[in-house]
Amino acid sequence: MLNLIKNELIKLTANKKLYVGMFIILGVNLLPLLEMVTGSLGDIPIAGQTFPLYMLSTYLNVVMPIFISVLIADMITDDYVNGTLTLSLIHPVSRGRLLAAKVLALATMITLLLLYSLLLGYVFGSVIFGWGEQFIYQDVVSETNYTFSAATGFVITLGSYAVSIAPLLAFGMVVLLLAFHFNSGGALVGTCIGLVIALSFLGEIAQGLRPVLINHYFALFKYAFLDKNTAQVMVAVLVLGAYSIVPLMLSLRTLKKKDIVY
Amino acid sequence: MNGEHVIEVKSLRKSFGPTKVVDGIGFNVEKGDVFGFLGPNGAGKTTTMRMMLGLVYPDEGSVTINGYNIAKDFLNAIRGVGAIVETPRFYPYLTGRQNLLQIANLHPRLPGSRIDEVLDMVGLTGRAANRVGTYSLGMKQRLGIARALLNHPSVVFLDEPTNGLDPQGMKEIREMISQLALEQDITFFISTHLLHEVEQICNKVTILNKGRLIARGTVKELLGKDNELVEISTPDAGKALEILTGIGYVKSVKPGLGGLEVELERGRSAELNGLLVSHSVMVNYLVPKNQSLEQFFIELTEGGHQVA
Ligand SMILES: Nc1ncnc2c1ncn2[C@@H]1O[C@H](COP(=O)(O)OP(=O)(O)OP(=O)(O)O)[C@@H](O)[C@H]1O
Ligand SMILES: [Mg+2]
Repeated sequence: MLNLIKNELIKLTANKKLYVGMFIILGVNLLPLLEMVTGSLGDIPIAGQTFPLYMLSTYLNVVMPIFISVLIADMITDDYVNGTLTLSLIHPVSRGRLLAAKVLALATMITLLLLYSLLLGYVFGSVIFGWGEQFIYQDVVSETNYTFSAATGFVITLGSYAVSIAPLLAFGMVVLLLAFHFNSGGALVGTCIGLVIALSFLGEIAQGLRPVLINHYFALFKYAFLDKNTAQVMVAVLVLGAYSIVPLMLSLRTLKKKDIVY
Repeated sequence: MNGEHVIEVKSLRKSFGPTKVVDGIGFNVEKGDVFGFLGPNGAGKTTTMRMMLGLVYPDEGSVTINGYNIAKDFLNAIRGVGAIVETPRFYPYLTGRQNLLQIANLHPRLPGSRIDEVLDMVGLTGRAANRVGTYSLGMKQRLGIARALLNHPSVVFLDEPTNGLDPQGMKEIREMISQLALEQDITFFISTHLLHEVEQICNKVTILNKGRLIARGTVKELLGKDNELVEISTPDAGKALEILTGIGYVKSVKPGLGGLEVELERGRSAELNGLLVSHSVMVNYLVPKNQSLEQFFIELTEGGHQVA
């Protein structure tokens, strides 16, 4: 099993797209600098120690979903259509284990990318804004200020990045299921970007739907560490659990029944 | 039937939508065979191979490899198998060695040195550190064979292994197959649309057309016949036809381009020429004809070679 995961990681890290993505994350870190210059930051209190937490929403809602779609397009759709999936399947490996390895490799990549973003956030944040005296985080939506000591702020930031793996992985499982039904990776990525945009619109126009929309739970870190709303965290765990397990099981069934014709 | 059946295929059927692609085929491959699976484009060779390897699920029928049913006991059935399905595919951004490592990782007990061994066997040691994206078609074909041999398979499936290669490349691959069959005791299952490829390297052949088997047997029986085909160019075709009808060693005579097409016992063409000349039939030239797969099919269906 470890070997299978290793195989997937070798392929993902040998692929240029990963480095393009990492470069884009680097660019995203410079956006606040631009906003600072244009004055559009307003009076949001940003400092080096809070910067990664501010960036997290951007990663969760935009950067990471696209990244995840690109990785899965490579790992599943293109792997199938290019005829390379066949290579593993004519060896003593069950389809279920291969899928499990791909999912675990994806989880690894999500974790590493979040870690990379976190580090980059601290470095860029400190260089641009200075480390800051205190950890003051303003929730842009509710305009509530949360104030912590630097140490607590650090733990909260770390925890926020860590719990964010869950909604991202759940999103990944939805993409995974889609990936088996596309004939080109590019089309899959395009569809997923469309899906993310459509979901956020849907949440805007039909607020009653929000509790069942996956992107609503991208903010899991806020429920867990800022609002400290246990009930909401429980709901999030349940909904995200369903979003993870149902598509994963359906993907498994799809792969097991699929005629591999490429 | 003597010998051990390495592969048993029973009444396989597969449709894609409304089209029957494979329509009830069955055959056995014995240990040590270089088994030719001959058929024109679209005959269903690749689809059959995919079913044999558990990639495509048959609508009906079964496949057994080394005694294990591919549907019920996939892991054991596939363990002794090496295969190339269609043109060999690679991860172009990985090196030759890394591509092989991907497969070696699926066989935990395989020693690392095996990669070097197979690279050496196909003469790619020097290019192993280059990305496969930079390889020529011939090199990819050879790397594909290296990969198919990686896990010490007892049976190797090759799908049109010389497709797209130049004559030199074809020769190399065919020699490699014959050598491996002989020296390493590997059973081969080779699909091809080239009649002479079967003649050159296979001992058994099964012929597939439109998803059905139309003939099978040893290559000697089916192809290395006692007869040969010659084309006679003559202005006196009518007279020649008269003379040749009823001659014992002449098996068939048909009008051909600028003369006649004659099937006769092998090695009697000089005699045939003499006969025509002695009857004052002008013979411009007499050419041996290589049989095309299409001609061979026509002959098979006319000649009563039926599948049992
Ligand atoms: N996935 C598929 N969906 C629909 N039809 C298919 C599919 N795969 C193959 N076919 C059809 O099945 C028939 C047999 O195809 P197959 O690839 O098995 O033939 P082949 O003998 O390998 O031919 P070739 O010599 O061209 O490789 C063809 O008519 C092809 O169009
Ligand atoms: Mg084919």
